[in-house]
Amino acid sequence: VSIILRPGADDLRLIGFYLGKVLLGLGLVMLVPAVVALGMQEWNSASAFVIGASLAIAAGAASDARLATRRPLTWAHGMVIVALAWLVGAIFAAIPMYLSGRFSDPLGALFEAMSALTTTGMSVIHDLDHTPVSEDFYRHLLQFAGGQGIVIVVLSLFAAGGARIATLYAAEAREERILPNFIRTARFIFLVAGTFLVLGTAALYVSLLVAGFTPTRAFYHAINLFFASFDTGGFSVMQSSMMYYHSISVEIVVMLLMLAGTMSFGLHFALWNGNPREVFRHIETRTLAVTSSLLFLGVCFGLLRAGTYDGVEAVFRKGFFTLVSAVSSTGHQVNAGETFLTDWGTLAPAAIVAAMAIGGMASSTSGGIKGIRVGLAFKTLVHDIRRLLLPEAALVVTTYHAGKRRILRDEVSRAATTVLLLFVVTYLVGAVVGLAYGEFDITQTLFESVSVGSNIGISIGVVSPEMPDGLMLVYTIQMWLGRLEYVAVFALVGYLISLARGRAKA
Amino acid sequence: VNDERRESRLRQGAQGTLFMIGLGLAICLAGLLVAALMVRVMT
Repeated sequence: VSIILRPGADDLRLIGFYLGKVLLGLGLVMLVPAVVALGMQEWNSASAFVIGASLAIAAGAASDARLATRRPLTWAHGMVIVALAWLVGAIFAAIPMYLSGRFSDPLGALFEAMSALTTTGMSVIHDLDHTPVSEDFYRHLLQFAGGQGIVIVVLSLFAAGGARIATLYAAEAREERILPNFIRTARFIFLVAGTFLVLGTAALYVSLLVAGFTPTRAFYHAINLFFASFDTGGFSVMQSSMMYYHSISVEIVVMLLMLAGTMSFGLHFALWNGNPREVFRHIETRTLAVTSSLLFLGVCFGLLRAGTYDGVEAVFRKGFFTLVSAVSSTGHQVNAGETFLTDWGTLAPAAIVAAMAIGGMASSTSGGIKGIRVGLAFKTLVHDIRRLLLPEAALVVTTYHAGKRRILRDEVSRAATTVLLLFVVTYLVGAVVGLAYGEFDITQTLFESVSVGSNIGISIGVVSPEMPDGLMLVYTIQMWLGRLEYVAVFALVGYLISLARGRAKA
Repeated sequence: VNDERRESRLRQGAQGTLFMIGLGLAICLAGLLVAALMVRVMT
């Protein structure tokens, strides 16, 4: 007997209403590059942005006018709204991209938009080096909007506030409640981002001036580099990514921004409240410190064994930078993708793949399995072994530190290991689909699949404007799943099933 | 009193940001040291 309830018209109305708010926010975001395009006299781009913004704002205004409701959100609603928001948001964000004429087909534009909003950073744009200023700015701005969480942005601007936003927030895979009030949490997130925006852009600006850029170009590159680095996005203004700059100071500033971006907002909050000890005690920092140190030893060993680089500077600037880019899930590259295959040997790329799979911290803009899940999975393993070795009657308690000392409970272990397993399954599915095309080998498809599934963006060369459509679609879905960490997407699927097969409410 | 509180929050925020930057630099330095050691040992 089915006990699922079919959602009623009220539920759909509520979902539509909040989706409309997200689209309204996205439309406003599109107006910024529209203004830039008009200023730069890029008429083709300006028309694309005006059309895109009009459609998104019209959809948002229509839902506001027709669907307005004061009903509170439930968990299920929140999950469904978030899963749909990233999908519908990406479709609307892709409209100006497609109209710009820089993508082979609508799927390419959707891939790029999803890559931007999920802060992945893979790109299938044609002729990146000659993209108009406004279009490039739009790609980077989308990473900022997606990174800081479209839902949070929109709700902190438009919603009246209160507890019902809590559901939206948790569904976006950022469960940590930093402050009791969500509007204040969103404001805090923007305060941190704003501080780093000023400091990071200034530092990049100076570094680029020293590297020989003209002031205007230095500013333009600095702001885009900031968006791509702090939001762990990884898009770049030039096809050659970080190699274009040939500047160690740019690389170091970018590394600092990537590290700050991968730090969870919970830890930023602890720092802003004068509690730096929390950073060293947190299970997530400790897990990532251990895994990244071991992986860096692997990268060094692999690179030196393969004879790719021989000097300290090369190993640091190529190996360490790439590792930071992978752990933070940014995706900036300091070498051409093909060199991972041809020059890096086997151990170093494998270590990078492992770092990409683990990713950064939960409640940050970085992707991947996340340090906390790996840490909890390890604690679970130790817990189970201890229970095996001790007498049956013994009470085994395992604890971990996250904000405070917590007891490892079964449901926490299960949630962490389930999501970890789902990530691994999607990495493998993406790799197998890639293999099915017969054009790539397992190293390439696994590398690329982990990179999109974890929202990283380091490419070994599979992703290109000419890649097969089917694979592009699979990668788009992987980016969506990875960003939402599965739960919200499963809730959406469950909702669709109950819509079709559920019992009508009494 | 409000001004004082705002000022102390600002100071803490600045200290927090500085700490983050310092931590990042320390991580980079550690990476450089490990790279130097590995190059020393392996070549």
